[in-house]
Amino acid sequence: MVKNYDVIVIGAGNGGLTAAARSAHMGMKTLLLEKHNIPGGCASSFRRGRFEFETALHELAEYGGPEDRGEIRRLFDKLGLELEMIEMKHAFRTIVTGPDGFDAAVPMGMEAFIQKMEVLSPGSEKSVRQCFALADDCSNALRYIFKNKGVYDRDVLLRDHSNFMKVANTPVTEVFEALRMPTAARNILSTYWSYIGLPLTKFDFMLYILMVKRYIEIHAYIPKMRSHDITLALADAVYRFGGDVWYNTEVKRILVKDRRAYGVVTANGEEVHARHIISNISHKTVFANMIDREQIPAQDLNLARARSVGLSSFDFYMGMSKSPEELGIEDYCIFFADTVDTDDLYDRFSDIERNGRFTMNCMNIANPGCSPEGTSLMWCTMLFKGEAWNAVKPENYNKTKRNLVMRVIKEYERLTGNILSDSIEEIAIAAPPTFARYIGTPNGSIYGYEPFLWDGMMPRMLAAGEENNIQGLHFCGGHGERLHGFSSAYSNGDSAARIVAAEMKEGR
Amino acid sequence: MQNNIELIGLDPENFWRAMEERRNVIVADSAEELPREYAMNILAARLHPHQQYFIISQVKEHGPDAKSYVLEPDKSCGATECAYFSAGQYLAVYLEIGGSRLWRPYSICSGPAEALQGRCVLTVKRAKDGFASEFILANWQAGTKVVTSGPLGHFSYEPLRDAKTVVGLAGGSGITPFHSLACAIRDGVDDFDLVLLYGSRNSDDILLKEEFDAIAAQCDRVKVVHVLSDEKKAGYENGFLTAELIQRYAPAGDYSVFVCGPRAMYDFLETELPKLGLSPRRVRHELFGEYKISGRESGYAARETNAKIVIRGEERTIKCLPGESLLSAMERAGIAAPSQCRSGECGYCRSRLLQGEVFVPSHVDGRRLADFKYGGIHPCCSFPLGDTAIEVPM
Ligand SMILES: Cc1cc2nc3c(=O)[nH]c(=O)nc-3n(C[C@H](O)[C@H](O)[C@H](O)COP(=O)(O)OP(=O)(O)OC[C@H]3O[C@@H](n4cnc5c(N)ncnc54)[C@H](O)[C@@H]3O)c2cc1C
Ligand code: FES
Repeated sequence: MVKNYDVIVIGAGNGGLTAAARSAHMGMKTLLLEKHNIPGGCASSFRRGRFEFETALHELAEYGGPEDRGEIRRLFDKLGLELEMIEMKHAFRTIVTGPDGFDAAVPMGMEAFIQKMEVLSPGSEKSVRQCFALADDCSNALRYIFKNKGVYDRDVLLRDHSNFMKVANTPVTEVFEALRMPTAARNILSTYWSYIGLPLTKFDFMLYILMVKRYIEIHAYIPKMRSHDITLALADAVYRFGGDVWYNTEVKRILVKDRRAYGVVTANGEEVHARHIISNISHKTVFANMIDREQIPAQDLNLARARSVGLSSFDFYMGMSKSPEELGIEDYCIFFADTVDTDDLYDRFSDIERNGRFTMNCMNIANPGCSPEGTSLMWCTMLFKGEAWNAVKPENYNKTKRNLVMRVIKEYERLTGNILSDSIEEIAIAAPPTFARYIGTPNGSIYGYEPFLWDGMMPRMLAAGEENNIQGLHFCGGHGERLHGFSSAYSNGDSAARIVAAEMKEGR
Repeated sequence: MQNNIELIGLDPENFWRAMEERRNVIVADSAEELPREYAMNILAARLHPHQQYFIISQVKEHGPDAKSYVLEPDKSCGATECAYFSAGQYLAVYLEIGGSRLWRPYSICSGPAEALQGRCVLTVKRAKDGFASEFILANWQAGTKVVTSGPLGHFSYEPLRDAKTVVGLAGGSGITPFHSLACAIRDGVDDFDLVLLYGSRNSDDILLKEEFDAIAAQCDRVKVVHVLSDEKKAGYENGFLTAELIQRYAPAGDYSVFVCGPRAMYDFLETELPKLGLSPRRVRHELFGEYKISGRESGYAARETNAKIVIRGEERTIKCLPGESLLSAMERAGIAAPSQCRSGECGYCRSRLLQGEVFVPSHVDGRRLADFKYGGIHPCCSFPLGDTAIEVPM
């Protein structure tokens, strides 16, 4: 007999886990299917020797303290998750070489951040304040728009929210220019661009400033026991609210008839039915491989085709046989770049040898005791276009990875004076194929779709009603409306579950 | 009210442009197909195939107690290549023995260069009371089809981490990954010097002796010293792998020690290796292998228990014998539970403990921190302390 559920969620990444936990929480009979033997997707941990490494989370935005809870903490509280989270004290340190290069560290907290920016870039205070004021204007406009489920009056927008209209779909660089922000301040404030994964000339100011504000104002956190803890807490919530989770279960097909999704088929041929399917798998993969072509509305297909696969990553994780003090490390995270020009940096994400940007983390600074006494956990991340690795063959894969690690470590040692190369006790190197293996996204993408202006947060949100024309099929995760990143993927999962709940209520 | 901010040169009408562009994209029908696969996903599947389908093309006997099996892609199953690997890695081999269904890890004995020729070799030595090894030696022959995992494990040379010289300490069948490493050095795949101290009982027991002799003759970066515990013979060392012996053969400067052998050897080295005063980063162990209850463990009393196994909501209760891991109990009951390393390390067998308690020997406890909070256990190294219930992901 075919099993029947209210909701089937495909994929237990951040988006899928949240969608499943929230669906079950709202009383729907929920089944979560995951291809791997454990949940989490990007959000996991792994052990080597004496160390347990974080796989992906640098810092969780929108978490906030117990007093001023951010959206994500409220979501987790609602689900009753019990987590040990650590507050981040510093926003970031950035070291950029080349013309206009700088070495700057900025604190968390709005006022402290603005004051520090003024010190680093005299004369910047006014424009930096205006940036954050614009973030408020954008939030107000969004509230107006979504008060009525995306129905808004153009004249009201133009009258009351012209600032929003000027910046919401305008490249970051143009807004910086319009504010006459000093160059040094622009360059420092640009640091988080790598979390978006496009140069500042290519995506909108609103998306960027809302993200910066979320990190700075509502302090970012990290989980003490790696993101595996959040992942397991979410999976546990699915169980607690009566949902089922099947691991080692790959979904091969989504069943659609007359433009209505009604179930899935797993790799071993089992059919399971549900009125609603939430996919943590991207539209590109679902439409190419999982649904009969004639069931896919032309517009949905066109959109999926036009979207650009987001960046993948290259990461190496090191267990060091020395403490951070012995290594001379004081910062949790340093962003490095060999130029202030983000277009140039982005172009070189397609070239293994010339990629000029990386971040280096030392987890012990934020999370003391995360590794045994006298050791430390280091982790380096570099973004790549998956295609940059196209010429790599299995037999030169390891060598390619190693050469890149050697180049980056040398550069790190040169710029900081801290020597790493003589105390590496464990090292694991992940490249685009690694992410392709563990999360199955196109080319190992970790960043959903690239948010070019036409595919930014605003267009995704405003057009949502007209897109996704297969009834009962919903999407969540890094390719969702709120874009990629942990907090966004969690939010996307939450909204997918809420949409399903609303539709179920209406009997759809 | 919005803030009063001068935005020089920005036009509110900007807002609609992106929206229009999106609309144009959606109606711009194109004949272009969505890609069905991507280069990185294809490369990932080649590097880490979930399963590999082989057929045995040749068998070579090494005395009465060991055989080498040459595996080639089974074309009848659509297999075309043998996944490339790092010297020192292993394959988990799928076996059906009687009513049991199980996986066993075997190091790849051949070098990575041979994989490019579509060939890899597993060498199987009879283990005392061995279940799988007996079965393999008795049943595998040319033409036998073999299903394995992709290459797994981390017992490989890593120049970013290891010294330029490795002193290998091998015992019994623990020689196989070193053979792979030696081939990799000879073939120019790995770049380091290997001094191998290989412990056997008698000169007759030495596995792969001719193979190593041949490599050493071709390549001066591989040196093999045979250490016999039960026999005195010219040209051979006599005794055990002591710190003193290691020092005698180790280079004067920096070196790494790689260890692979039976449990007794690990136990012995536990007191010998510290005498060398090496940094922890200079000592690496291959997987411990299946943990056998010795009876000396504190915190574990062997007794027969019941284990309720939950798979996708279906329940079934099985017996777990005294001293038996939950994984073995499941396999004996014909449940093809997932496993790879069987040493607590890889986490592939990870299941959820719903009821009861288990004993996990500390040095094979590969659980992650958060697993302790949510009952994540590795059945391959979990021994029930009473009746249990576990949910197995399959
Ligand atoms: C190294 C790294 C560093 C990062 N750093 C940060 C950071 O500091 N901060 C931040 O906010 N974000 C960071 N990110 C990005 C962030 O992790 C992702 O954007 C986010 O997790 C995406 O979530 P997702 O819901 O799309 O799930 P994914 O992680 O993409 O997971 C998808 C899941 O679906 C499963 N699946 C796939 N196909 C099938 C199928 N057919 N059937 C069943 N299951 C299937 C997969 O196995 C996987 O579990 C980082 C990512 C990485 C990898
Ligand atoms: S099989 Fe690897 S941990 Fe159990």
